[in-house]
Amino acid sequence: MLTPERWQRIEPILDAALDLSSEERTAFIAAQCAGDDALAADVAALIDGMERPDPELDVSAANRWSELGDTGEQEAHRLPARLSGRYRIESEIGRGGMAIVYRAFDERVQREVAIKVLRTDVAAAISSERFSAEVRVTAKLRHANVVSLFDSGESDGFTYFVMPYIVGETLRERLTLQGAQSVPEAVRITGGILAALEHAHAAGIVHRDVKPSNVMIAGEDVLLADFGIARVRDVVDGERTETGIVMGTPQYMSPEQAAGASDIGVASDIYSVGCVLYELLTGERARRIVSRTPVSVTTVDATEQRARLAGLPPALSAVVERALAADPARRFPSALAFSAALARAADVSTPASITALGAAPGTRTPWALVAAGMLLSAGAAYRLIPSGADGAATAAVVSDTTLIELLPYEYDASTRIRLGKPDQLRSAFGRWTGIRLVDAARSDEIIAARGATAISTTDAAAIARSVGAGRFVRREVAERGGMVSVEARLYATGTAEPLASATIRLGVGAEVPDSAFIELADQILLHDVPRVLRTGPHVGSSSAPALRTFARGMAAKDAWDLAAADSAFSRAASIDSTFARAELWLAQVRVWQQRPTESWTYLITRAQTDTLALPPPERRVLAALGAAGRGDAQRACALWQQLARDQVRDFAAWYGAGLCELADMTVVRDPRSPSRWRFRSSYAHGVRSMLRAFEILPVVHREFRAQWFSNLAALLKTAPTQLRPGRAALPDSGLFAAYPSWDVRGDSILFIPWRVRDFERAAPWTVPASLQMAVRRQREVLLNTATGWRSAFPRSADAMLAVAVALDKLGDASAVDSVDVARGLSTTADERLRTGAAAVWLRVKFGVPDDPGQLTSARLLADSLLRRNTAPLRELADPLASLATLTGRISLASSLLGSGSSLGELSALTSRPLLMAAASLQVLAAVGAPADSLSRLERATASVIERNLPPESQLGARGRLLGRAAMMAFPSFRSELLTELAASGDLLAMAEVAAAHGDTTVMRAHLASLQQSRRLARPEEIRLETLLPEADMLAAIGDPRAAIARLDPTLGALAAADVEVIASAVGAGTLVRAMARRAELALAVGDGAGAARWAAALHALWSGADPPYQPLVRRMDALSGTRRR
Amino acid sequence: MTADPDMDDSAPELAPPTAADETVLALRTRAADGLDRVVPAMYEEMRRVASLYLRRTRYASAADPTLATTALINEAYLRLVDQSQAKWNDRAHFLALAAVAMRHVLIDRARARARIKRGGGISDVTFSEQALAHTRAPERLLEINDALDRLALIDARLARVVEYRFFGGLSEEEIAEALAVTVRTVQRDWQKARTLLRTMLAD
Repeated sequence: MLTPERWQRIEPILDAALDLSSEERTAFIAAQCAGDDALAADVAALIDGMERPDPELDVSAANRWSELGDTGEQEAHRLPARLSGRYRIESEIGRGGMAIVYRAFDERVQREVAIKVLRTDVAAAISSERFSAEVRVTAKLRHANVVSLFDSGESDGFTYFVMPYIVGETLRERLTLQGAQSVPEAVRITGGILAALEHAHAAGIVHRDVKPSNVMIAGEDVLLADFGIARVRDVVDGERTETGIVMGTPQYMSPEQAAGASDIGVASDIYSVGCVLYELLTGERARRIVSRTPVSVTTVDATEQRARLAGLPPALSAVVERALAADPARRFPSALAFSAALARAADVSTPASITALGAAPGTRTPWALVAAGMLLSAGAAYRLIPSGADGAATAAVVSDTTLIELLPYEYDASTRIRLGKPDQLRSAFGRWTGIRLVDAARSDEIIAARGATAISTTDAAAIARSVGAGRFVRREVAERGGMVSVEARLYATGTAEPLASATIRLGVGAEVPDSAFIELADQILLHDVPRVLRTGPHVGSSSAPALRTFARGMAAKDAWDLAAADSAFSRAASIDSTFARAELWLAQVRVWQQRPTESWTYLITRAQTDTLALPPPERRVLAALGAAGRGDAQRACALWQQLARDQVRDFAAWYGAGLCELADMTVVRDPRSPSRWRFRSSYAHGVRSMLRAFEILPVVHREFRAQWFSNLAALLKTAPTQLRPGRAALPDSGLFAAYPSWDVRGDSILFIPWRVRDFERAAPWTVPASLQMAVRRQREVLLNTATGWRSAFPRSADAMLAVAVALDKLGDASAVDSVDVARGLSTTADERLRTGAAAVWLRVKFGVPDDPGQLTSARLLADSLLRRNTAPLRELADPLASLATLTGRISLASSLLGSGSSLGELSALTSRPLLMAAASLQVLAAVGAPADSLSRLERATASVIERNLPPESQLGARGRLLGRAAMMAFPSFRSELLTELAASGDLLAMAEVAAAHGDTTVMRAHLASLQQSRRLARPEEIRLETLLPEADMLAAIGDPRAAIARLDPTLGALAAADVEVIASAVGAGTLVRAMARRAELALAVGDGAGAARWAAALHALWSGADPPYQPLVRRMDALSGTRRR
Repeated sequence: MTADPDMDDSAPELAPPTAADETVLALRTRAADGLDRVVPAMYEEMRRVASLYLRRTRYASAADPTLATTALINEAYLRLVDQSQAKWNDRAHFLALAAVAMRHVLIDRARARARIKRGGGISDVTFSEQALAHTRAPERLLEINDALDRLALIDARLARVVEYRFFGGLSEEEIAEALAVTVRTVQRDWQKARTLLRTMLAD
């Protein structure tokens, strides 16, 4: 141990020695230390290492640990409750790279506003005076399509902008939800954006950041936001152009802007609008090709673009292509020119009429008809008919399903009575909006013109077609035994097929009430809507199409098909913008899908404007969601619990109650708690509510499948490393955390929160004595739930698989039997594969190394699964590759991975050749393939990376794809990359480089640091991927016992490890390689029995391995033979 | 951002004169490591600059991660210190303060990150993954930080050199200026400090 005193003796000698040549040093040090050998040794040791570069310390911390630069979370908490004493912050509604947007209340003007607060690090770099000068100019923009800027300022160190609070969605949300828009809708939205830009450009302002997330759609209004704020980016970036790419969304940037040109003009905005239009029409983002020339020129991929636009009218795709021209001079010269060309191409004579479409609901241009038709669930066919030499076109509605031809009553011969005027059925249809009836007079006229013959269904269809009606209704009256029956039938015009029919019976001579006809009309018009949803005081919408869509949503919700429910509710709410019920359920479904808060709070706000339209229980759901949306978890919980008490069979209530208690992080003071703090909500109670909800709606289990089960496993805290986070309630502050403990008296899980700093210094009291017990009991709860699920669905393979997973977590080897039952229950190919793969993995987990019988059965099972799934779906490629690796079919494993996605985020960027090369490299490195094949693959992968990836992704890709493999494959393969990795400070690579140089001391030091870095991990949590090269290094320096000591704890804990460990090809590969290594190591220390044991295990798995691995198999066979003898 | 033609000369970019005076005074009279106690507002500002710098480093192009190394700190310096009053070595002292701020910011973040990785967040990061990426793991930075604290007990100047270079990213020339020693001394100090630190990390 170095002390200051000792250093004071060492340093002068060191300094003087360093000034000497290396030959003179030894003598000098000996002389100076005068017999103090320890001192001389210290000086010599220090000098020895002084001039060697240190890859870890020579790179600055900010560069190596640059990921610590991601920030934002903590800022929200520092924001004061009021900005400038005027704006009361209510909730966060969105965040981006530069700013966080809050909903706030302007107390001076008494209105809701949206406030964009710049991130403090961004604000720190700009001069506020200069910045506000920019803002002043843009604040003058006032236009129907521009989100105006009310105010801006600084308060408590935060720079902010105040804008109107707009209830609506961003175009990004809409595109994500609905994909490509119809041509008229795309034209309408683009027209709005262009109108805003035209106004801004006239004022000399370029937007610079037109993209879907900056476009708001509120009902019929299209608004462009973030004028002026986009300018901040330039101010912040100054001369550094590449950060522009980083801070913004490069996808919508013009090539010149991306290249960092300083004079970004109107043409750049035109290009961005072109990107948006392209996405509106195709549903895909315009893809870029980044060339690797020094000036990075960015253009949209023209070939792909043309292919996608091919389905559109040529005039329209020509407009898109011109807007996206790489050369600014070839684009439209102005927003007005763009908008005019677009209008012509899409057959709208002037931009004004685009806005007129939505602005004046009364006007019915042909396009309006089309638009209305599109909204109906059945959809409407339309086409563009070129008419006239001037190139103008008119839209003709071929078949408008919202237009209904109501034919006159037909009476059978025996019927004496006649139904008089007024036409009550016609009035009953007239109650609904969203559909129209062909005018009675026009109808009569056409029928009269045909002559007085009976009308057949074919005739009726022809009549309907002649007036453009997509539906028609025939009605027949018959009189029998003193009763009159009226039957109405709804037909589709195109096929003349009946869609629905209904009959009412009336007493002869009686006054026929309107209600009877209303029932008749509703039964055919809303034949697919359950009666309970279309009658009573809380129907909620007078639009027939909206109500039908809503009913579809409710059915999907009850079947827990949340995506379908989301899309239906959202459609219903857009058909009828006053449909509060649709908004409420859309919000609820989004909560269940765990969508971000801002994706549903606006719906709640809207629904709240018309609470009385909701049935009373739904008003309470609305109140609870409203409280949750405001962040008032306590109130939300109370409301859900109340609702759950009153409506004991209400899934939404129990689920809501459970979810809000589990999500409540609030920590409050409690003198009785050992830490003096406790969580406000009861976790045990939350879990109970959640489980109760699933009892009510077991279908949720089925629809969630394995996904739900793994969520539940996390929710129950079934792993000892799962902390519950907490935050002190005001006026206290600070972050807390807690490991689960077991409350013996209450027989439930309990969390005692401690300050996070206690965890940071690993204070012993943070780890409760009952932690392991709590985890075990929660795993039992998981097993109980799985068993309950299985009782509800005794034929469900997924339920049985869940039982097996829960048993496995409890370390119970009977999991293998359960998974075999699940295999027997499997009916679909997907189920057979999932249960089969789990069966293989569990056999390997419990069978290594002592049960070769289990392992042989694992191999046979894996073989049959691989035979049956030769062309699997992408998401199944990973498990199959793992099975192939476990059984030595390495080339199959790499081709499976190459076709699937196992490379996470990179797969989006990468081409198939890269996936193929990289996947093979990973698997081969894991199993320890021969060095020459690895080196060939490494070169191939490197060159594919270089050719296919944009420069900024190359470094990351090299590290992830090549680096990991290089480290795994050491020492049998010595990649040149190791030096590079060591220089970047990777300890394993540093150890490997030292080992390669024969520098044993340094190698051991690095290995010790590695070991130290894992001190908190339990053996089963450590991956063999790093342990294996470490063991190999130790074995290579003749220390097989140390190598065994590295491997054994983790290998021995395989039964306790998560199945995930072997469920990937790399994990599977390292396991088999570790087994082979372990057998050889046993031999090296003279442990013949041990060698035989491991060799037999590997042989059982690998006897059918690929030819290149057969020598290994034979070697294992020989080794295991010693055992047999 | 110094050469922007749009800049309005009549609107001074600098902090109010009183604060700037105080800063200059503090820079001249106190050791850099005491500055955080002397001028809290300025220290807070430095922390903000450090955060921004980190953010940029995070996203800097792979081709040249060092492009922005001191540019930002220079920006902050020009903004915070009244140039008409500044002397030649005020800038170096300022940079030294920035290095201290950077160290604090990095360590705070590393602690927070290490805590999240241990399971404080919703998503659990397994330890085995940490082991793979451990040299960039926040824990490693915390270990280096602890070793640096121990080094400071043995030789404060060596520790400061590490702080300036490793945490602050200052060049040898800048360190020499801040510590009023020669560049040669800084180089020698760095070698000694690095060697000592390495032995401490191996302990």
